Amino acid sequence: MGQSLQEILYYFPISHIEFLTKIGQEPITFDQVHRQIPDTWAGNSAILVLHDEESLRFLYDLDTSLQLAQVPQLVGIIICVEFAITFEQEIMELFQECGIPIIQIHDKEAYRKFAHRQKHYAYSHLAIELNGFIEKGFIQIATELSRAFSIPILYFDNQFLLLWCVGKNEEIRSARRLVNIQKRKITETTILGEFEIHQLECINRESYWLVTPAILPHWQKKLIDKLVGLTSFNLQMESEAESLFENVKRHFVYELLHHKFESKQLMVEQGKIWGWNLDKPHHLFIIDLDFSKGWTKTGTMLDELMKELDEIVESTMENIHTFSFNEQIIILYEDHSGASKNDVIQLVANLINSLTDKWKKGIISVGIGKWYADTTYLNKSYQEAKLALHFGQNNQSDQAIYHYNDMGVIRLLMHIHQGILTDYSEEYLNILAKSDRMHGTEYIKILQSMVQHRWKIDEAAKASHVHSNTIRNHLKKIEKMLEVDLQDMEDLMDISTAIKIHSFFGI
Amino acid sequence: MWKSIPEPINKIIGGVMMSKQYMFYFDMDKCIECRSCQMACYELHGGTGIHYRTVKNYGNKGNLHSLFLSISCNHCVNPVCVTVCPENNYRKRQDGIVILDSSGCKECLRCVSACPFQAPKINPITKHAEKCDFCFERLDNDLKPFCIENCPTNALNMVKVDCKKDIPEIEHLEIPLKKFSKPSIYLFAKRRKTTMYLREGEK
Repeated sequence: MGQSLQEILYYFPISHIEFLTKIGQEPITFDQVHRQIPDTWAGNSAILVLHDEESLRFLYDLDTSLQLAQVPQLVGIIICVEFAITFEQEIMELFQECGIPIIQIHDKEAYRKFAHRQKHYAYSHLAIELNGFIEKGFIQIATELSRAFSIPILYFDNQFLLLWCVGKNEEIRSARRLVNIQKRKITETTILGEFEIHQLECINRESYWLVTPAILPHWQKKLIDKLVGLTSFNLQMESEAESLFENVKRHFVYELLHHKFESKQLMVEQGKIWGWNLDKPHHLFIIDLDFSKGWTKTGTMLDELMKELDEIVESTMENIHTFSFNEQIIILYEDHSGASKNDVIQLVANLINSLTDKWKKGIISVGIGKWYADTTYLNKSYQEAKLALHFGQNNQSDQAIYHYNDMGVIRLLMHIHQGILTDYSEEYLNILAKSDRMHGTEYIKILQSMVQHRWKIDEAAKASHVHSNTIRNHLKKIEKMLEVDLQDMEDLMDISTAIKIHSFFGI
Repeated sequence: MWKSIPEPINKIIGGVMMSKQYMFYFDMDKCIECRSCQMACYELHGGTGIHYRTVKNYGNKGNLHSLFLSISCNHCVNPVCVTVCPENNYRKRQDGIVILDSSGCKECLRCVSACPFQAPKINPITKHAEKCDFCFERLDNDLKPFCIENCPTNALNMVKVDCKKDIPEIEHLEIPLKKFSKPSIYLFAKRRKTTMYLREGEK
């Protein structure tokens, strides 16, 4: 009993095997191995193993090929060369019709395995196997196997969405229909009807799936198993690489936002990895989502917003980079000349207006830091944007975009000794605070609302849900208690400052 | 100089927890005003004439009901010093520690006045601002900060918390911008019900 040609194929790296013609399902056995065309063909069956360019010559000649294809003992031709070879289609079809498969093994030493009929898989070859798989790629290898075996191969993601497929349309449709109907039940490698669903198992990543016919000859099954194993291994490696890449990016983003880089050159070089030109100055914006307004605080919302922003940026705006950090979205906008505050606010407003309606219900707020010509100061810009955002969200609830420069006197208050601030504020507001405490009035709250709405009575009344005359009455009482005239600019500034200090301690 | 001591590479690549940060924990009920923390810190930093850590007294001297507060830089989640320093000398490490590169300081005093805790102080010799660095060199060698190690009653300690979830708003102390800056100190004071002001304890 001879040895099966197909069984030996399993012991070569899958990426090294190229089926130049289709190969039948039935095992092809041989008892003789010839390394050149013999004068006489002895034995019952033989394979021709060619491993140099010279011996390949006959395959370029139709007449010689025709004679060879008629040799009854010849059951297969193995070509063991590393370089790519192309033969005339007519010659290939001739051998295929005669049932003589031609297989190229991209390894010039491979003939030894056929000569000695080696049936030993060396695990030391795993690195070569994997490297070959990565170099050649899943798609090419799976396509070659599909053509050689005349079978469909389908590749599904973790949600059973079809990523890729090869084979006859009818078979593919049939496999897809089956997977769609049964996908909820599929949890591991399983046979469903005519198809086998192979689980591409990975750690820290949901499984992907490969679908092939369930009934295959043993040798084809072994090669498909190898394909499944290598694809899983590759997915795991990709997952690890993605995770490492993400970690390095997170670290860089953290450093960028919290640390003045010691060398701008280093920062610029690292930025290039992510496609950011940090050689040029950038504005920095922080987009914050208010999850309290009926939204679930999950990363999904942030991802959705990121996706929309990326689409807008890709289609309409240049030199803008977006990334998420600490449940917020950071935008870097390249600007050589330092656009004015109003221009930058307009740009952000345009960006937000381009979003779909679901984001326009007051759930987005944006903080903008100052522009610095030196990008190593982006960390300062980030802190400023955060401060502007915090201040805006606490004091200017009618707006959605806050610029650090809009903080006004608050920026000065930070530098004054808190004792002095408290004394100043209390001197003006103590009487009101006492009244609020003793009689339940809300004089300080009213003044805070007035300051927040720039002393526009109608707006403050609307925001406080009271009539504007009520506010006017309260203001008159306040004027009387504090012995000030709020129509007088000096008095107005003093009271405003006292209120701002009072609010400053609360934010 | 902090520049010469990079964070260990495993902290960078090995899945660093960026949201975790160190935080001081101070139990005011346990503090006996021995000032060991203050003196240990002073000695460690070479007796430069400035105290990175000070102990404040809330009450009359000798009063059994006095409360004490040991305070230094509180390594805020959003440090105001980073915003105000024109030389951009401050940075926040991934473990939350705020570090000042004093070598670039121009003695503008902005951080000194802006810090709610007056943590940065001008070194009279170098004329540069300096402040508590949470003994990060010791931390990198798995040692606790010197002030914590020298507290005999365990009133001063440290914890590592998730800065997105676990940093409570500082109670008992009235300071500006605390909701924004989120100082990384947890004050425990069972006996204290009213608000304290940092300036009360100034001597």
